[in-house]
Amino acid sequence: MENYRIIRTIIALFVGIIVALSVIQESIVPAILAIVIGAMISYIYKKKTNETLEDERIVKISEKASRIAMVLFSISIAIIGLVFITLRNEYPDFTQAGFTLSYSAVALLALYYIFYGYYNKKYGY
Amino acid sequence: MKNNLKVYRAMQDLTQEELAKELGVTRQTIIAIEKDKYDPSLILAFKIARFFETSIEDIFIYQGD
Amino acid sequence: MERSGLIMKILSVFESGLFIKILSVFISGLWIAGLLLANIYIIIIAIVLLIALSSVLYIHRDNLEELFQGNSNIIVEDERTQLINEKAATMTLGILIAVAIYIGIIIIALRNNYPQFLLAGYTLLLAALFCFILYFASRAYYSRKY
Repeated sequence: MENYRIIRTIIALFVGIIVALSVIQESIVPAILAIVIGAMISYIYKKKTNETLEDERIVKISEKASRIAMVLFSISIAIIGLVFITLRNEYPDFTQAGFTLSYSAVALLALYYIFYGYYNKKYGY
Repeated sequence: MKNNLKVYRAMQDLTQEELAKELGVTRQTIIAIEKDKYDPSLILAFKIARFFETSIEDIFIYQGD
Repeated sequence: MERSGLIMKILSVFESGLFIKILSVFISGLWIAGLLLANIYIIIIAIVLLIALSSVLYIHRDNLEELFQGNSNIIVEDERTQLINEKAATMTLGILIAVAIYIGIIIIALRNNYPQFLLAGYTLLLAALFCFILYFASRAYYSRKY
């Protein structure tokens, strides 16, 4: 697991730097290439190695963490988005951000319920 | 996981609803367990075994990976 | 153990009858606001929320009576619903963050061709970053706990 952590950090740095550079250069191609290559390297490493990368405890932890993160995240962006939209006369520059956040909150809710339905069925409903 | 929950439940003449209430879970969970679609947590498995005054291995049949 | 149980109860509010009622009122409010302000975007938000709400009601179609009567005798929430909850949240977050980052990067990289969406791109990336921070913070908390 230690090796995987090191490799993961290296890949993250690599992808992050290339994406930042390509955004400055105003071209998408390097960014997408870097992300794809990073994903491929990560995938290949996972397949080739013998170390256990995750066990049921880690999976449980990440799922519980996702749940809390999702609830806090959705409430925050819903509120912030709504605030920006309401203040569109005082701060017209942020209106687009407000709509983006509100749509994201809505997409999150819709996506969550779709997956809830799927897992509900999977676990015997 | 395969299990005999339905059998034990029938032996005591309980509905899924009644068993669920006794164990503190939803009716859907009992249904899901009996359909082999949901594996209960260790705590719930012990509760079930204790409720039917038997061992976990009598109710749940572990068949390996 | 007691305290985290309480937190889980609070977080499971997404599936409670009360939340669904509040959500319905909110949707109606949004719809009216959208009509009054003649803003199509607000109405779009209301419509999508309505679709999400309908899917919730459909999923729990056999439980609707229990949900809305708030009958304390009938248990609506247990370890299985929590498991489903957590798995669904994991998938949702994963997909949403990935999509947000991809779209954000694309928008920013194309900022000369479509400058009007630039703020949306930055917003998406910042939101994704915020979510990452929230996720790793709660992950650290749970790692310590278990």
